[in-house]
Amino acid sequence: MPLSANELAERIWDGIRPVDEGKTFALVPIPDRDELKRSNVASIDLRLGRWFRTMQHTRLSFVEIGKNKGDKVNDGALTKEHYARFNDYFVLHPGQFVIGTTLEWMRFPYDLAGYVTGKSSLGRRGLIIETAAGIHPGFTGCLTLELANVGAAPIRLNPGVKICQVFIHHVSGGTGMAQTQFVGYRKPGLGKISEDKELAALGKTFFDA
Amino acid sequence: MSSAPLEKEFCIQKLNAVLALINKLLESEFPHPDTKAALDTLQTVFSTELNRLTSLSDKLSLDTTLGYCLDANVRIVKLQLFLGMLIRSSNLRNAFEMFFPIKILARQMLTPDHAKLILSSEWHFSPFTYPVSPEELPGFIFIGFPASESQNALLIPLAAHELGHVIWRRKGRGVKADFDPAIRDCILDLYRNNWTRIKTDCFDGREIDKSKLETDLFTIGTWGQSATLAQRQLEEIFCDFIGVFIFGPSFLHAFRYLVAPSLGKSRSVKYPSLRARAKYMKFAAEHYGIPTSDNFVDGFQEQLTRLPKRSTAIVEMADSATEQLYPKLIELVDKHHGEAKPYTTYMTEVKNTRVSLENLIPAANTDSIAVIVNAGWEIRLALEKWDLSLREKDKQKIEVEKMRILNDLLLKSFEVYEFRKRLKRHAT
Repeated sequence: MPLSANELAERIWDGIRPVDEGKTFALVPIPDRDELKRSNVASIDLRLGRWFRTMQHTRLSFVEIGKNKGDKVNDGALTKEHYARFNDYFVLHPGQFVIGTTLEWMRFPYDLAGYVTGKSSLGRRGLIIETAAGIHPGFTGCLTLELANVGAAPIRLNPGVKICQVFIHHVSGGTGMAQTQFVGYRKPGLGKISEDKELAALGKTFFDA
Repeated sequence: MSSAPLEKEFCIQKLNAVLALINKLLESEFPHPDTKAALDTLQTVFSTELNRLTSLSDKLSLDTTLGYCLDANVRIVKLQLFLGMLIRSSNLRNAFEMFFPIKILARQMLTPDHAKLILSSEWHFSPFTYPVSPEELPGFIFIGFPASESQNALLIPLAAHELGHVIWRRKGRGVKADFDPAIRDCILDLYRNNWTRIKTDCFDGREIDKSKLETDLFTIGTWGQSATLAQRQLEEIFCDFIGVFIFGPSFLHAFRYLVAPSLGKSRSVKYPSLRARAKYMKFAAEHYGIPTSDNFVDGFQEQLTRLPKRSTAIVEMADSATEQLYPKLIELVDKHHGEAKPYTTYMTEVKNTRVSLENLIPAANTDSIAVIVNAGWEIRLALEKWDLSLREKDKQKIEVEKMRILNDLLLKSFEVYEFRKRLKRHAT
């Protein structure tokens, strides 16, 4: 069950209370908690950050998503970085895919997790946001957003725009930080694909020649 | 009557090449509008130069035409350097989040001037500024961080030093003009008080009347060199004091990180020796009530100054003047820091911000970049105590990862500072 607006406003760190490693739920910049209470919604709107990454089409024949062991390829080799200032924009053309970040840096306590979804008003204009939607307890950093334009018209993405929303849930018995590779990033990144021993076994020859 | 020389044709071609380059650069993505504004200005400058040259009459004398060509060449040579800085300022390797806080600081320090800022990276290992922008780019300040450090948020305090140069040399209201008479008088006193040595080392023992020190062209040329060196040294110390005044201990840490023990075996005599400079910074910090580490000065090595006898005497007189005059720079900082607030105004906020950063939360509420960067330095200096329970087990890699996370936290804190300032300015 997601937290209500009142519960969210209560849990979101106000920037003044002492920080408790396991309990503090922080979003920075801090959202307007009074507005959140008034809105009575069960989610928090998140804004679009200023850094983007697109695939380097000119240098890629394909993207490997399975064989990852010993993968040393960094983001820079596969993608191109972009930056747009607050009063500027990034145009996402039909069929184009870009990764961005939330402007907000989040720090999840051990007893909360989140689900990110798009905003219906943006979706109706062709903007699809976030397919890997889960945020684990202890997550910290800016959330990488996968943005795709499935509409017919180019979409202007203004840094700072309310781009998605996050629903917050209690984690029953949550006591610690999830072991994740994504700790404290402010820029969008591809991340490494976790090692999959079963996939590696499936990829080997079964019958000897 | 003379026909147009080949030099004119070549100059027109070179100007067209520069304009083509500027047009190409104008097609770039600009992280900040000031870079584009500078390129627009340079485009106008070179277009005017080109029009001037193309409209020259072929009837002009060869000398006159070559004079115009020389002017064009000089402008190309001078401004090419700035074009390089402009293009590097839009390189994604830079931490663009540092731009806004430095520009705010520049506006505060240089009020009422509305400075435009070019924050760039340089391929020499020293923060770099053009204290006086070229006449073609009035009001622009160029600051470059070493390319390998251009993402390092912990070095932001060094920008205050670079802005200090602009204050020192500002036309009309600069510190330099105020302080020059004191430097001159001090140098003259030093020459009079060390006359025997000066005569031997600088004038080969020739009988020169000490009373004509201020009128004899030969002696003026000698003590004038000492005065110029002392001016340069005191300018550097003034800029350091500005850095300490605004950024407190973080300025000392950033300076130490970048420079200690030294960046070369020989000393540039336009600067005080590094040890002396460190001593002066410590003095300023203590004056402002800012704690410093006991071994701060010891981290800097003495540098060699191998010079001929005459030059040694000239430098030593300059060093002595600097040593005598540096405490007076505190008054000048008090008078010339503009609307920039001292670090001590905010220093009580550092602890809370450090706790926030240690818990992986960017600074959310502070109105001071100095608070953010000082909190960052406190974590950096006790990095081994910062427990992040990372998946990585290799100690070396953990340190690198911690630094990456700290840097991202600081840069995000700067961005939040910008976000809040923008909302506050345009609050409805």
